[in-house]
Amino acid sequence: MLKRITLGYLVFLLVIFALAEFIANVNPIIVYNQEEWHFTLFSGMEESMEADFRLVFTPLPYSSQNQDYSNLNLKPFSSQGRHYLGTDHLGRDLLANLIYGGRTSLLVGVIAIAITTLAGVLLGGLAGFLGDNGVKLSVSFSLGMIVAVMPAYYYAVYLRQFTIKESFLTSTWEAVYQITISLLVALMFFVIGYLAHLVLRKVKYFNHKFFFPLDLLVLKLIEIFTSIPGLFLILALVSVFRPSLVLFAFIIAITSWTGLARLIRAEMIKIRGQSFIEAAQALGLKPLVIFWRHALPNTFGLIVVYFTFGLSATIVIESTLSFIGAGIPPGVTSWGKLLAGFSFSNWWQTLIIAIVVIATILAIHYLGRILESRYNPQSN
Amino acid sequence: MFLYLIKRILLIIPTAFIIVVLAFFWGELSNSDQAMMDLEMDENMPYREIDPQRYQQAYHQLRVKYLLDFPPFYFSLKALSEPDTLNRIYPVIHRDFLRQMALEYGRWDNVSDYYLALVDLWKTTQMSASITQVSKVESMFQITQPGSIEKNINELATWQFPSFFSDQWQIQVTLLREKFELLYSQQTIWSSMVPIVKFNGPDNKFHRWMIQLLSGDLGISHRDREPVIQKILKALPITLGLTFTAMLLIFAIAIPLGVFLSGNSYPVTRNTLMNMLLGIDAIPLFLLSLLLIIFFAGNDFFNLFPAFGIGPNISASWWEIFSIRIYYLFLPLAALTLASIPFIARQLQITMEQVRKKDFITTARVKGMKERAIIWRHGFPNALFPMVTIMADFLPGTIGGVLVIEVIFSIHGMGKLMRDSVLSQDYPVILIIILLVALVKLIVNILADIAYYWIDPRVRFG
Repeated sequence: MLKRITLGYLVFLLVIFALAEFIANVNPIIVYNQEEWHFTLFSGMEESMEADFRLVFTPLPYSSQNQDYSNLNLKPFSSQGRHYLGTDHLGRDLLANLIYGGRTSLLVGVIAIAITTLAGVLLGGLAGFLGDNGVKLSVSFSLGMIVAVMPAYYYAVYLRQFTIKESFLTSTWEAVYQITISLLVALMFFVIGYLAHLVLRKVKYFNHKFFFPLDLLVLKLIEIFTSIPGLFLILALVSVFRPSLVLFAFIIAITSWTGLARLIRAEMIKIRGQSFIEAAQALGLKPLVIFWRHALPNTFGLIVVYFTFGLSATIVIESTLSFIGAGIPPGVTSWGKLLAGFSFSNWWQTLIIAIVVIATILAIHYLGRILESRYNPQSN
Repeated sequence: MFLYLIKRILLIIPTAFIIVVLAFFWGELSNSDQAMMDLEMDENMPYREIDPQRYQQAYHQLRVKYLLDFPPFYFSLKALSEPDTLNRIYPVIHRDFLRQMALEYGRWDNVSDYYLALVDLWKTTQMSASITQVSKVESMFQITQPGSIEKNINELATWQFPSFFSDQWQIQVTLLREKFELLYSQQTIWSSMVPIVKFNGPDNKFHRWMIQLLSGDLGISHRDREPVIQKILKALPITLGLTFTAMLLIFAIAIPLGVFLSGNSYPVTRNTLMNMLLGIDAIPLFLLSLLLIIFFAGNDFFNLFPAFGIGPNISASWWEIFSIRIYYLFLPLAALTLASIPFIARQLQITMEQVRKKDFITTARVKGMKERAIIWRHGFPNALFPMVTIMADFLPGTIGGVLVIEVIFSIHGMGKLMRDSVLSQDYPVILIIILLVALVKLIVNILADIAYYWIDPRVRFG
């Protein structure tokens, strides 16, 4: 029963967030004007449309930032207008804000936890699986890569710094395009470095091999990242970058990958000692293939469970930061931002948002526990 | 043990050094102009419009004081076409403009000619043109694409002025156009394609900053020019008091709770408590504080406690001050404690459940000891070991929680200082707070090691 309610609630939220524009929008969906139908949901009504028209509105005729000056500080469930959950001191509809804000919070949460999972699994997994004696590098290879760093930085970052800075002001796609070009330029130098390695290794001295202490390095990295409490680190990063939504999610991920990395690393060390890995090694498979095909799938349950619990954690981090005024950029609503508008005169509004937020977090937690009992039954 | 401790303390140094370097370069990224901020805030300083000469002088002095004109690190990477003297140019926008021009057009002499012509034009405009015209000319200091420059020069040429001024204007615009055409026709892109590594020696920002830091000078706040050390000394006791009181409360409540939950008695109470803990765990800390404020500090429910601050600073007996503080800090402490109890209690419960299955507990029971004595004298000390790990991991989390609490209840501790500094981009303060917090964490790790040694005689560090 509880399981059904939880899953139902989460699916309900997802559907509402996906269809947010069709549920709460100040623009009418369709306008019939001068014997023509116009689809006006995203464009809004044109001025040329005369008085002779019929409209089809969305169920909630308000957008998130849209202000209704005749209905300020409206209590919930009042009959005025169509503000089902009331309005705030600027006349913004609470229900519409709840929908759009929730979508932002969930979006940031999902992006952040996705990046977290990727980084945590790769770094922690490889560190645990390969250990300090798993990677053998030749002197020529490391020399090639180290030497390639300088020109790669110069041509990809230093020379293009102004182009990249300007592209951020133009549009996100322009920025992505310019950054991709920079990455390609950098990649080119590393390829050149690799080619130099192919030549250099003919010399006996440069062909000398040594163990690359991957595990030690990742552990040091984790130590450095965890030495600063997450909230402080995020605040410090936010103060420089003035982030967009995606960048903000990225910053959250930077501060939270260490938890999963530690977990996966410990799990990998356990898996590494098992006989099926030995069998795969005996078959002559390459270490990375064993890691990807045989070791990693065994941590799948762990990853799924962490993803779910982490999702609720990132939503909490996002709303906390937005609440203290250092999160989501202006112009976008989120649950944390809505809560930051708290005052004693509209406490009921805070209460409604609080109930929705807590219900969502509880639901995600419960989902995590369901997944946990499915994937690692022994943990209960 | 003693040797091991010394080793651990020495091992802090490389980690701390890496953090300091990272923090320094992070601060460099911000590219903020502290000298400019200082000038604009200080009323005694000359105004740019009234006395440009003295303004420049004061600005230059401040930049030297804040080490802003030094290269950031011991060596720097730059293009062949970039001159060494770029860091003597004010304001910083012009410096960036010149660097960009040098990278795009290659020949520095032509770039500097164009720049000087543009500066002359700008000065002329300031004498007799309208504000929009001045800002139009000023915007030329950000345009580097040849097409846009051409367009802008053409536009400047069409401006009409009174006759005595018009000639001079036309001459200067023509000069600017000539310089630009020279620049454009002689551009040598290859020269910016050649990187040069320049060694700066100890005359760099990092070196000077490190020396200042090591000699105890933590810098000055951007916002109100108060020394950072004073700000931190004001904020630190409040945060420390809050953190330690909260930690005491958390452990005073969570330890008996965890031990109780791990037992077998009172199944109904245990189940209700566990579900309550799960529910509280789902409430974010800031939301919990908001709810507490609504229910216990607002007029609509119970108006029992104040919602903000730590109360007045009066000189009274310690008991009176203590009671005022408790009255004001009741809600913040309650929020912090409530939010942390579920996690600690749950961890202790898991550990205690494992301990209860051990043979020595059965032995104690066979000896006929009382259940209470078995749990607390034989069982609990064995659960202490993981608790130390949890505590060491937990302290930074509490500091983060204190940050949220301080912002919501407007208590002027380190957390609020951090938040306010971030919002006003007060980098010297942020930098020091980050370093301090990192140092605390590193020291707590060592303290945890000492605690292991003390709790468990089997632990011996080599």
